[in-house]
Amino acid sequence: MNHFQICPICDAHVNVNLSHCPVCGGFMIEQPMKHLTKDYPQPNYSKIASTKNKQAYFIFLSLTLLLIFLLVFFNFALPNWSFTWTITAITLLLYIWILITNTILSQITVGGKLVWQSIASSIVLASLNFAMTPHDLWFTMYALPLILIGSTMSLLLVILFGIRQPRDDYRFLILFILLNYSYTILSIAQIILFSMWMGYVTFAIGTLSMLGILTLGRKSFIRFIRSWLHI
Amino acid sequence: MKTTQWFRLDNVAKVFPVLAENKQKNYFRLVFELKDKIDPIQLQIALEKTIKRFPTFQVRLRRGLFWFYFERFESTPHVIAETNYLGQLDDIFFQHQFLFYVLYHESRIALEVFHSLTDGKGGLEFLKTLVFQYLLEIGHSLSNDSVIINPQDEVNAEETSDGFQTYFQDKTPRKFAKVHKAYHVQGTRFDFGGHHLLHAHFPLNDLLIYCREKQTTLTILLAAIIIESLAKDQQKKFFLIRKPIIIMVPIDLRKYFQSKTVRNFLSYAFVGGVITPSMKLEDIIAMVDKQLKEGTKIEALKPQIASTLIIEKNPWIRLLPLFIKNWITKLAYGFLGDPSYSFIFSNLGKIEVPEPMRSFIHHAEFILSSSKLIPITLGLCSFENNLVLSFSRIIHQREITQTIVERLQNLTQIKAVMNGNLWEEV
Repeated sequence: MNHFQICPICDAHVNVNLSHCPVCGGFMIEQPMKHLTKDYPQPNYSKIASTKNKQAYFIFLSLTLLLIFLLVFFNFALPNWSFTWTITAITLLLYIWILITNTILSQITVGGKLVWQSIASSIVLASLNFAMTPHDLWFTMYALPLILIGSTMSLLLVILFGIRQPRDDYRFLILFILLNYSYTILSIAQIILFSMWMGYVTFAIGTLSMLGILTLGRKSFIRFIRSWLHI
Repeated sequence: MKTTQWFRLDNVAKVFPVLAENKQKNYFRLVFELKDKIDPIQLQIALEKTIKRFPTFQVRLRRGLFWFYFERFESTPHVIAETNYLGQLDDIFFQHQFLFYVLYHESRIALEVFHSLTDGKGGLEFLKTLVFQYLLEIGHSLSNDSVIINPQDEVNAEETSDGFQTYFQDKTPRKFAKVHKAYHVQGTRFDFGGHHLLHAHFPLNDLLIYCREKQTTLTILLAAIIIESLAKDQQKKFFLIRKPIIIMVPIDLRKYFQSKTVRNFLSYAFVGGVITPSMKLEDIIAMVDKQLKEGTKIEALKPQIASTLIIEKNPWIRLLPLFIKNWITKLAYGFLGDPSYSFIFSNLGKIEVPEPMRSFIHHAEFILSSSKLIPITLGLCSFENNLVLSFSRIIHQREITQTIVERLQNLTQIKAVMNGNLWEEV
C-alpha cells in the first residue's frame, strides 16, 4: 500500500481511497467523500431494525387490539355481560394471536407448529369447558386426549411420508408420545378428571407411534437420538 | 469414507453458543485482499468444492438434551457481498444456517466464522484452500506444495479430531487460573451493533528489526503498548482506583502437539497487572515478557486446560439438562469470563501460502469481534512484508486505538498506512 494521503489533523498516513482518517476521524481535504458511500455496499439498517422489532410491534398491536375489544365489549355490546362470554372472547383472541405469531409467521418446523396449535386449542377448549359447562368435564375426558392423538398421528405421518429431513421434528414427536403416556398414567391413577378408556387409547397410540418410527424411520431416528443424547 | 452426521463441540467451543443466547456473538473475520477483482460466480464454485474438504464446516448448531452439538447440514453455502457491517451471522440457532459466511467485495475475499466452529488457524486453513481453489477456477495453473490443504484430497481424520480429547488425559494435573477483576474501557456503543475497523499497515521487516534491536518480540511489544495505553486511560478517568490491566492472548496449541485439526485447539495466556504511574514502557515490556514466557510454557498450559476438561467430564455435570448447564455457564462467565480481562489481542502470525499463490495476494486481515465489556479488540497477521493491525471497536471513543497506533509509530519511527470501514464517519 504505497499510495497514501496525510491526515491534516493527526498526521496519519491514510489510504487514498478514504474520505476520512480512520484514526482520528478527521476529514481528508484532498479526498472529498466519494468512495465508501457509493462503492462499498452498506447494510440495510431499516431491515435490521424492522426484523428485530417485528415481534415487539406485533405483541404491542395484539395487546392494544385486545384492550380495545374488551372495552367495547363491556361498555356497549353486552349490557348484561356474563363471565362466560368474556372468557370465550379472551381465549379466542389468544388463539388467534398464537395462530398468527407461532404458526403462520413462525419459521419453526411442522412439529413445532403442531405443538403450538395443540397448546392453543387446549387452552380454548379448556376455557370453554370450565366457563360454559363446569360440571361436565368433556375437555379432560375427550377433547384433550383427542388433541394428543390427532397431533401425534399427524406428526408421525408427516415425518414418515412428508418431509425429506425430519430430524428437527423427532423431538416434538417424542414430546407427543410422552404426553400420550402421561395421559395414560393419569387415567390409570384413577384421577376422576381423566377417562380410563381414553387412557388405553393414548397408550396404544403412543406405543404404535414409537414402533412406527423405530421400524419405518429407524436409521435417522436412532441417529437423532444418539446425537441428541450425546451417546 | 463414512460421513459423520454429528460432532460434539470441543472444550473451547461449548461456551460460545451460551453467550450467543445472551446476544454476545463471538466470531472473527479473515480477509485476503487479492490484486484482481473477484468473480463471485467462480468464488461460489470454489466454495462448493472447498466445503466438501472441510466436513467440520458443513454443519449447523443444534440443541441436544445435555449439550449443544453440530449436525451435518446437507445444503450449499452461498457467497454474499461484504458490507462494512461486521457480524453478519445474525442467528446461529436458525435451523437453515451455516456457522460461517464467505464474503466478497472488489478484490477482497473474507471469511466470517462463529468461534465454536474453529479458531483463527482453522479458519485460515479454510480460507487459504478456498482462495487456492478460486485461483484455479479463474484459470490459473497453480501447484500446491503441501502448505495448504488440497481440496481434491480425501478428508484426513486428524483434521476433524478434537485436539482436547486427543491430547489431554484425565491424569493430567489440574490448576485453575487466578482470576482478577480487570479494568474495562467504557464508552457509548454504536447503533445497530456497528463496528469501527481500523487497519494499520506496517512494513513487517522494519518492525522486526526494531524488535530485535530492543531484544523483544512483536507480540510482547504490542501487548506492552496496549497495557500502557489502557493504564493511561484508567489514570485519566479514575484518579484513585487502580484495577489490574489484563490482556488475553490466545495461544495456538497445534505447535505444541503437532496437531493438524481444523477445529478449535487453543488456550489463553493472560498478561498484565496493576500499572502504577511510575512504570515505564520498558518495565511493562519486562513484565509481559516474563508472564508470556511463563504462560505459554506447556507445563503451565496443560493443568489449566485439564481443569476445564475435568468439569465437562464430571458425571453429575454431564447429567444436567442443557438449560441448567447454560444457566451455570452464564453465571460462571459473569465472574471468570470477560470481567477478568481488559483487552483481547490475537496474533495469527505470518501467513504462509504456496509460492505460486503469493503473487496474487496483496495482504491479509484478521478481525476479532468485540463485546460489551471488551469493546476494543486487536487482531494481527502478516503476509510477506505487510503486517496489518486490525482494531475492532464498538464504541464511539477512539482515544485508545489512536494512542496505541501513535505510540507504536513514534516508538519505532515507522509510519503505517491506515485503512478502515469508517463506520462513524460515513
